[in-house]
Amino acid sequence: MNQPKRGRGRPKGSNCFVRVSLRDLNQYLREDASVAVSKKFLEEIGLTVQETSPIIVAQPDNGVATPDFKMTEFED
Amino acid sequence: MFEGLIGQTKVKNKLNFYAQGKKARGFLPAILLNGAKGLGKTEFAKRFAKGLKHPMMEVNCSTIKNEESFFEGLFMNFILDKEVTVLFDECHELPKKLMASFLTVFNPEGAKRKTLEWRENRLEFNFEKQTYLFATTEAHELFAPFKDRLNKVDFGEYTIQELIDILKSKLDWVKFDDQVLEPIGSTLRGNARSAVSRATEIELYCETKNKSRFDMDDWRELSNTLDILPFGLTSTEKEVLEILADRGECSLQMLSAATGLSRPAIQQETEVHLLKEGLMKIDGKREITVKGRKTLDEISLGF
Repeated sequence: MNQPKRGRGRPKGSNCFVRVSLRDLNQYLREDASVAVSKKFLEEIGLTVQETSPIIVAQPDNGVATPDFKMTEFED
Repeated sequence: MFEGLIGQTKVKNKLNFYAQGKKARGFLPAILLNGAKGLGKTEFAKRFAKGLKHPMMEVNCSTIKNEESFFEGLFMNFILDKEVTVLFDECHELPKKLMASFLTVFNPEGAKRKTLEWRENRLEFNFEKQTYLFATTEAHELFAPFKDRLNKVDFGEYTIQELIDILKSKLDWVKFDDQVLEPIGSTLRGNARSAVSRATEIELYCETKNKSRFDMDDWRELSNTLDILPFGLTSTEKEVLEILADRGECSLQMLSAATGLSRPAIQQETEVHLLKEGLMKIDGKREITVKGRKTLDEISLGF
């Protein structure tokens, strides 16, 4: 008989959201940037969701980060 | 090669030996410079590189994120085919995978060149052109097989006389009273960098006071102003001594509760110097020594 899985799923108290001010977000995003928010959040502030817009996620920079280094040349 | 550098005779002997080996054979094994902070690892590395007549590249290993970051970001652009001495500073921070790749490169079989296959690249480590130095304060954190491939050069603590000589060499225009140098040297914790910092403080003091002579009264005034304690104690170490003096025998747990520091922080950061200077002892429980009490009295009297 299958046993119910234990110890899986979201632990109590953890969540996926963080609070951030709109002012801070505006520093990084364009005015027409598409932002993912939860439907519940929209309902809480009295907005209705019609259709989720495609979300553009910034791609991670694939350039190779050069480590910090210092070059010292010696005079003869 | 090391003119003007005071102390570390064994280090000088070993590095001179390797430098001569480089001249005779044309290439060197990788060297590990091991020792606490402020003992001169970087300065000795610079002099060594200068003696080899190659520029020195000093790499901060905590900024090497992965193999790609090293091989593509650094090696291919700045090391491959170049004549250079590379110093990997704080090498215990090297990524594990890179350290594993280095096992092949720094195999101590005496080859002049070593080629490493990495992705589609063949990377040649040419030991006739490049010399590799690794420096660390935490040799025990290095991957053991990697550490075995390096020729270890250990830096020791400086004696008080050596520290005094370092201090005086930075302040040749200041005349010190005979009895003042010993107390100054005793606050430097065996550390050359501390001696250089102390020289700067004394220089500032003398310039501010328009003096070219430094005596015990000046030292007392400077110590009180900058909160310099006997044996170079930190305020945390002094606090631990005070707790031990006040409460008698203490457990580590009790010290942790009284200072708000974690047990490892007390053991690794605070107790070591107090034990070394004989200011406290551990005999099951922690206890202040007679020397420790005397030191606290000195502090309360204004050092």
